[in-house]
Amino acid sequence: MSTRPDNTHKFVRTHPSWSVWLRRPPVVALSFALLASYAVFLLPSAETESSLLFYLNINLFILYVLFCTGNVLADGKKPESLKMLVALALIAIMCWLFYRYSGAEWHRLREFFFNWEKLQGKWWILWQGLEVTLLLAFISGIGSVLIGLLVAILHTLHSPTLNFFLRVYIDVFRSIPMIVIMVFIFFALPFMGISLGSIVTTVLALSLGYGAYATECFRAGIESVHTGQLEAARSLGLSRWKTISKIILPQAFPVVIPPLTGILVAMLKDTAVASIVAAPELLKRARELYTSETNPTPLVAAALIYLMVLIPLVRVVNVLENKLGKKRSR
Amino acid sequence: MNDAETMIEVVDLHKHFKDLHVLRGISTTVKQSEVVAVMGPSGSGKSTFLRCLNRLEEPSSGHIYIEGVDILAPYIDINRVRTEIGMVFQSFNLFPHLTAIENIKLAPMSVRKLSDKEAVDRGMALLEKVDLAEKADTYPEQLSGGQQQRVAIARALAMQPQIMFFDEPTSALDPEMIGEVLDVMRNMAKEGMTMMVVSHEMGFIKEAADRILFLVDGEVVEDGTPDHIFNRTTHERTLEFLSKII
Amino acid sequence: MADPASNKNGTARLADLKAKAGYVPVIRRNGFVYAFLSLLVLYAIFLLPAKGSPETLDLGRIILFCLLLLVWAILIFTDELKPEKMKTVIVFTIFIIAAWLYYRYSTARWGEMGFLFFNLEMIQKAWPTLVEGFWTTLLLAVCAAIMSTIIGLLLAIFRSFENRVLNFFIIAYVDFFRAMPIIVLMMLIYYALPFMGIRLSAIVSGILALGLNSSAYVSEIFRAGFLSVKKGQIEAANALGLNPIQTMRYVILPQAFRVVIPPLVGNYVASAKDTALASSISIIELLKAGLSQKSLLANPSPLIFVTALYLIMFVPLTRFSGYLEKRMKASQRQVRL
Repeated sequence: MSTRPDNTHKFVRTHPSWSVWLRRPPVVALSFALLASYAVFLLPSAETESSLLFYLNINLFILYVLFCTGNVLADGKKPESLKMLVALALIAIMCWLFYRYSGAEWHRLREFFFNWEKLQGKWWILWQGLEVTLLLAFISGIGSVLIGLLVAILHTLHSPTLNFFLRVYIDVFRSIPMIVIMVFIFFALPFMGISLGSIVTTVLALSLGYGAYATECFRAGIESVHTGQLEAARSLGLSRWKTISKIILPQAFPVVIPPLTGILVAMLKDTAVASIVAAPELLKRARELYTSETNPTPLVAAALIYLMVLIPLVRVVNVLENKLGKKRSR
Repeated sequence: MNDAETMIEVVDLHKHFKDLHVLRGISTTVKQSEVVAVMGPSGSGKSTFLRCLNRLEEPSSGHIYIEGVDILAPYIDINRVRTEIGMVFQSFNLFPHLTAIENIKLAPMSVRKLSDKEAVDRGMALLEKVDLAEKADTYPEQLSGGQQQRVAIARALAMQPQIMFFDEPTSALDPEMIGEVLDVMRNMAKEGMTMMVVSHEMGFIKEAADRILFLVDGEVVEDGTPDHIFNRTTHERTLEFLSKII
Repeated sequence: MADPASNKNGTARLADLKAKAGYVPVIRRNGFVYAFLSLLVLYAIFLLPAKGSPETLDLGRIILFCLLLLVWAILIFTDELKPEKMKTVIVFTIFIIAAWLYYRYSTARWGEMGFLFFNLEMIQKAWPTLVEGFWTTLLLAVCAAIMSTIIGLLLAIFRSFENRVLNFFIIAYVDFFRAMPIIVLMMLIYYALPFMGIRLSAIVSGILALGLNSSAYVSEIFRAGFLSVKKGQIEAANALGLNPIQTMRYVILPQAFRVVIPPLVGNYVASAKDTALASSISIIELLKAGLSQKSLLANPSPLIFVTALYLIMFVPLTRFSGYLEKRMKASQRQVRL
């Protein structure tokens, strides 16, 4: 007895919706079937001469794999277990592709990459290298923080002449790559009558270079303190130095710490560059061993040591930055 | 009862969030030009209920009929349904990278395929209506909360919807701005818009609402006129809630 | 006000201040500044060691002199009452003194300075190699940028699916490449992989190392961009009936781009700077070209020229990316208010 006209036409889908169509189970199943047949029939064999066509073919396959898996993973309505399966399949396919097409001779992995016997009795060399690396990072860390703090405070004096020169310092050292600074000090300055050893060169280059970054970071911290704070302090009659040390710096430090940690960790990473100017740090030591043993195991070991030291630090920086981000958005 | 007047019909609507059973079988109907207020303690599922009706949340089971059409059917294009239902959010959700008038004309132009001129004309008329014509070219961040919410209402109205949903439209506003938003809503009610409003603004509800749905723990515990709910209810949970908010 | 003692105390302090009106601390007085200056001059005349390469003990005396000079300068700079002109004069004085000290104590052969450092003839000889090096640097930077953008974007997209297994691998990938120094990665790829039968040319190794390293950062940048678009924005777009593509086109991308572009540009600039590391695996890019020409011609002019070139290239780029980031932060601040 309904008096209502049928309104269905108002809401029925009138044009095909690709995203909906692509996510239907039969279409998904078909896409994976196509994927399998592509892998079986169209992928080149591993022995094929690597030509442009060869790479195009593999890249096309990778794109198609990403499309098929992404199609399932992006669908909110697919069951979690299926997504897990697809994710594992994706990882497996990627590993298989690398295994098959990288041209690697896997049986040599043990002999040349993880041949620890070659390093027996020589670990102390790498260990010494690590000590030098950490020492370089420590001294340059202190140097760059001191430079950064000094320049940032001088910046708050708002003297135009001084600011011009400070700006030049920051611009120059932020713009030149670290390796160029080191090479310049080590190879060009001796012609000017200044000969510095490789250790001094490294410390000087890292301190000056990262001092410029630290300056920017301290300045941002100081600027993050509201001008109202400054006015309040000055109206209470605090001197300029008291204002900086008692009001601004304590408030700026929580803002400064996360990016500063990031800068110091980046500096620790950049100590590896010092091997170019023959500072006896970890990478340099590993390269010497690599040459004397004609076996890349020392390089691999050095890389692993770098990872062991740096991954925790990178994670710490990540956590600190996330915390700051959350605080800011609040 | 004339069937043609029924705009929304909800039958046994359930919604689960993982283990949480948020809506436990809600059934109700909303007729044309009716203003229905949805009230209830926090966590009772008011917002989820509203968001299920235009499928911003996917209902777990049940049926929803808009103008007699089951919108959960697979052949339905939910975007066409949504163009018939305007929605106003608690946090405004204006697009921060667009000016007020751009916010309003975006959907009419890209969904309804209006020309730029038509869309701007319609948008300006609506801004006139919410008393913000002079703010057409300002960005949301330069508007006050009340102004932002009025632009959001104009944005929803620009699609010329049959139904309007309001999800706590005034709870993120400073007290002095609530009035201007409620005025706009009151005018819409007078003009005969079908409205569902999640709100605790007693004055507005008493004056403008035809019915109140009172939700507790995902169930409708009372369904009646404002007069009935506010003055003659005997239901324990309702009384408890009312004593808290008055 | 209620406490008479504090009131009295307050009056007393006021009287003190009145008595001291016009009081300037000793170290701020002009007399002190000039006394300090004359002390410095006396130090320079009597205590600084003679011209020539200094002994260790003499080096200490020179350093002490520099420190005293610095203290004197800071005393003047931290004084608001001193005129700006005076400060300007002092900055230049310090530069002159530094140059004088350098002239006096370095063992540089001044007669050959022009020949050694700004020798146009040498630069001319090195020119073809340097130009080649420049193009190699550009090639490295552009290829690494393209590679890192593609990989980074794909990683960010797959990360947004929030699948636990995938996330584990993606996070491991990102951490690995963020923790690995680029130069170590380059050496692993160029020197170690051939032992396993993977023989890549130097230039491909360089691009690979730079691109992989940068892709980790790019993926984090894109992820932050996706996360920055609030859920309410997508809901509002849905409620207006925009389809997923329209939502992406009109709502998500314009907002994400504003967040993504500044750090992305910064990352490309950093990556372009890192191309200089490729000199360590004997790629003849700009730095290596300068270095090799320096040893070939036994004259540092090419190296000086290359350093200057890096400055000319990267000062504007660094400034530009800094400007973009500042602008983004300013606009974020506005949103918060």
